[in-house]
Amino acid sequence: MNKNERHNVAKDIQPSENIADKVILTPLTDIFETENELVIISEMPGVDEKSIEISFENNVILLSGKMKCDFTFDNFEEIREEFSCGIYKRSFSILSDIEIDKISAKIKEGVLKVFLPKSEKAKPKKILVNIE
Amino acid sequence: MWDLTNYHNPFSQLRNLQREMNDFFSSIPFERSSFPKVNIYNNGDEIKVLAELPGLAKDEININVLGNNLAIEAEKKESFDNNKAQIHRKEIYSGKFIRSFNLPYEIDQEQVKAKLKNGILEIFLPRAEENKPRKISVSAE
Repeated sequence: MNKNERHNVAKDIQPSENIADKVILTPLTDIFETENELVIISEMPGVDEKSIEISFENNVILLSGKMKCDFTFDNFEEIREEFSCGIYKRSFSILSDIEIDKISAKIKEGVLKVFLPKSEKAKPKKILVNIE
Repeated sequence: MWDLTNYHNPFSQLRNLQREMNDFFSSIPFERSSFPKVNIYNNGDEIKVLAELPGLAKDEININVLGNNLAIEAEKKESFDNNKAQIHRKEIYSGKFIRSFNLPYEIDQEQVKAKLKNGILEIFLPRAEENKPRKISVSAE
């Protein structure tokens, strides 16, 4: 790689080039199951709450949200950079029967919580065993 | 050799191993990956720090500044508080953590400001006045 190409690569990751639209980030996620619902918790620090989208299709749930990168660092030199701006995106296939119309979600402090209520037939039923 | 004290919980060993491996691989582009992830910027008069702290309220975070050292400390609660729930996936860190950094110069403790928004903590750390470089003019004889 010659000097000019290297310069271009560096230019590609300048904030002015809107890196936030190009980088896909994988949010750390916990998934829990209770008797009545599945709960998906995804950490999306810095996310613009209005940009969050949740879709459910063919038993796959897709969570996405865009990070809001309005920090100003004119004339600042970077000493350490462990995270970058971008778009959070992650999908999971859901094996339980879900009441799609009743899926709900909330966001607080950069943590997205999605609640997927199980349909009646997916709820556990106790079957009595008669002992002869 | 097996560490017998941890033998009953193979998952904690696996998790530690995973963390060490993550640290190793992420040490190539960055210095070290830890929790929380932090960006630091400097313009000579002021340092700005961004830290990813999702799920924490502002009164749960402690910021300590002493000389040129900055420490961020908090305790992160479990993401979902239900003992009966089955766990399908557990990636989110919970528990106490502290992370500290040596900054390039001493900070004016009184002027430190911080704000928390959507899980990102922004800290403004102005350089201490007595630590600022002084221009010394040389007079010609």
